[in-house]
Amino acid sequence: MTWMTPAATIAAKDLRLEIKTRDVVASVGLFVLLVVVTASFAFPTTGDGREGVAAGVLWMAFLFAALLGMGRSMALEKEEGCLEGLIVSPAPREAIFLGKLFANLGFTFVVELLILPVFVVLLGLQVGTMALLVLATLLGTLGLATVGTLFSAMAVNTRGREAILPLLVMPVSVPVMIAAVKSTEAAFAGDWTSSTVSWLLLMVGYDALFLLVALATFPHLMEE
Amino acid sequence: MGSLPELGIRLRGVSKAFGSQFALSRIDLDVQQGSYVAIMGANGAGKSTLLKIISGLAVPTKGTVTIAGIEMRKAGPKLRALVGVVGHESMLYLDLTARENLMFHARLFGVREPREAVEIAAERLAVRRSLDRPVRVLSRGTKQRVSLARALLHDPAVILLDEPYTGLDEAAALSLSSLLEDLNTPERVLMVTLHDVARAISGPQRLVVLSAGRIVLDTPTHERSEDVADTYLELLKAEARR
Repeated sequence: MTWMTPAATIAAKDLRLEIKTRDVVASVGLFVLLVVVTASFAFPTTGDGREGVAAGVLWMAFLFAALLGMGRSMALEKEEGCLEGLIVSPAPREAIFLGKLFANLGFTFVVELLILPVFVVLLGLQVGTMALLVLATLLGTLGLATVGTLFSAMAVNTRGREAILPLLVMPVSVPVMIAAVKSTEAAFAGDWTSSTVSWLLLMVGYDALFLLVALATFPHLMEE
Repeated sequence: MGSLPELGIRLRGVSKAFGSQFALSRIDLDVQQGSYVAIMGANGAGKSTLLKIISGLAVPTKGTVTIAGIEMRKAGPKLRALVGVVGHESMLYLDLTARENLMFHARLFGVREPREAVEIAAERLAVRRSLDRPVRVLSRGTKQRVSLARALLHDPAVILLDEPYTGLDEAAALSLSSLLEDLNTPERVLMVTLHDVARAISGPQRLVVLSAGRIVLDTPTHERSEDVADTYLELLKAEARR
């Protein structure tokens, strides 16, 4: 597949950059850890409905992690005109998008993997259905990363891109955030019902739709 | 002009506007395969925009650019693989070493033996000793040479250089001039934007001068090169008086 080789090359380059600088995982991970610790003091960790509150806090933290990481990742491409280097290469524009998406997914998953156990311990939660938690995290993160990667490419040429990126991403990510929170709540409660399946299917649909939209529009964003 | 050879560049009625401001206005230009063309003009004349449009980095507001008979806008990866570009910025990741940057670009351009290609390009540009240093710590001149190595890794048939002498000391500039002479083969097209008229008349075979987005002079440089230099300087003076 002609998209996959350049996409993998770009993602591997981002990974190498991250290993060298630890820009995204260290700074974003620390920030998200602080959010989680603060939340553990601010929200009730006992009583009815705590799974719902916990799922909401968790996905807010994941959203912040994704936004910060993706903004930083695309900003790196602006330094020294590196994005232009990608555009003049034979890599299809769609492959550039996929490469950045793979890297963003990787960084966000790493942060999530570090934060999730801390979060569960701090809030005294039990994971009722681990498979559902993993599935909800994968689908939710894919949706956030797809939208975030697309909009970070849009925002990168604007002044105040750090402020603009959340303004663009947050409204569009409402459906996937709601679905991810509901699925995660069900995973914490160990309560896998038919409505949980509907939330998961909503995320699948959202991810597929925005992946197609991103692949169709990203090439046009690369034109001056 | 008759039909272009296989890898010629043809611009027809190319204009580029940023808002209401035209950076380029109705440019017609044919560059034959085997040509070495200098593009000159005052700051803001449209030189960089012209190269960006030819390289596919910018889309013309009007008109068409074709390379080897294929319109640049519709150019697929195969056509872009024929072009090597050095822009104002190095297109290098500052936190990666020069070698890591070159390997990345070699892989992106589908170079068959990337390690070997990196060594050859580094040797050619005299940056072998800097290969394992992060680009962030390289001097401006060395960074510029690594950027040139990046553009030449895939042995492009069309080479577009936007002010490549920027940041080079005299020795490095002489070596770049000699490299460009070597690269000027019958199979290639070289287009270089310059500010120094002495360089434009000593290497390139043709000088194209832009003023306010239009071509105001298009002349061979090898015949009566001093006249060409004088004409260029007169044009600059006239523009300064405007």
